[in-house]
Amino acid sequence: MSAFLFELWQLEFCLGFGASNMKVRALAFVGIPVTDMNRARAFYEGVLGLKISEEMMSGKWVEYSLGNNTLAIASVGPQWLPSDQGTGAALEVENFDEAVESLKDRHVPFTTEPFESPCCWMAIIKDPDGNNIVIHKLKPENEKEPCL
Amino acid sequence: MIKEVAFVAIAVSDKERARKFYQETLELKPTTTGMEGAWVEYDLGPTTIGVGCHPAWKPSRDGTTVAFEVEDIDASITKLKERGVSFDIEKMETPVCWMAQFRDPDGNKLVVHKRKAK
Repeated sequence: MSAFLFELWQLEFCLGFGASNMKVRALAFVGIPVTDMNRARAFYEGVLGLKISEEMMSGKWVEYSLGNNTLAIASVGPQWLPSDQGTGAALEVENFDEAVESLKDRHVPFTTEPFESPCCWMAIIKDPDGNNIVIHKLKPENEKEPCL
Repeated sequence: MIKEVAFVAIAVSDKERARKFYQETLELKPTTTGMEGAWVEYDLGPTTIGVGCHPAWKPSRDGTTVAFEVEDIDASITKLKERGVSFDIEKMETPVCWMAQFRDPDGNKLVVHKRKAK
C-alpha cells in the first residue's frame, strides 16, 4: 500500500467513513430470566458455584463474571419470563465427569444425558425455572476431531 | 466447577431467513458452518454465538437473552430500524449502560447494549 493510500485508509478508519455503523464488538452479557431470585441464586451460586460480581436493581439483577463474559440472572416481572425452549447458555467446565457427578448428587434434572461428540462432551440441565443450560467440555486439541 | 461461557445457542426455525438476519441485518461474520447450514457459529471476541435450526429445539419469545455490545448504540438502532427491525423496548438508560431490545425473525429477544465508561 502506498504511503498516500495508507494515510487515506487511516483517515477513513479514524473518521469512520465507509465503516459500518452496526458494529457488534462483543457479547455484552447473557441474561437468564428467573421468577424467584433466592431460589435462582441458591442454584447459580450454591449448585453451579458461580461467584457474584454485581448486584443491581435492589437484588432483581445479579451478575456473575465468567472469564471474559457476564452471565446475568434477573427477575423483572411478566415481560421477561423463563422458557424451556429458545436461547441457551453453554457453560465450560474444568472437569466434565466431576461436574456431572456433582449435579446428579444435587438432583439437578438433566434434559439431555451426558454424551460425547467428536470435539466435546455435553449434557443439558434445567435451572429451577426450567431454563436449559448446557454443561460443556471441549476436548483437548490432540484428541479433538472436527465437530461439523 | 465452571470456567467460562462455552457458547450461547440461539434456536431458529428457518436457517436461510436466520442466516440473512444474523449476517446481513446484524452484520455478524460466520466463522463455522455445519449441518448443511443448520448450525452457524459467529465468533464475537472470545465468545461464540451459535444459531441452530433443529426440530426438537424451538425458538422462544421468553427465556435466555443475548445482549450484543456495540460501538455506537444510536447508530446501531438507526441502522436496525432502517433494515425493518422493530423494537419492543426503545433505547433506555440505566446507571451503567444504554440498551434497547428487539427480536430476530423467530421472535427471540436480542439486546443492543453500550456500557458507560467507568
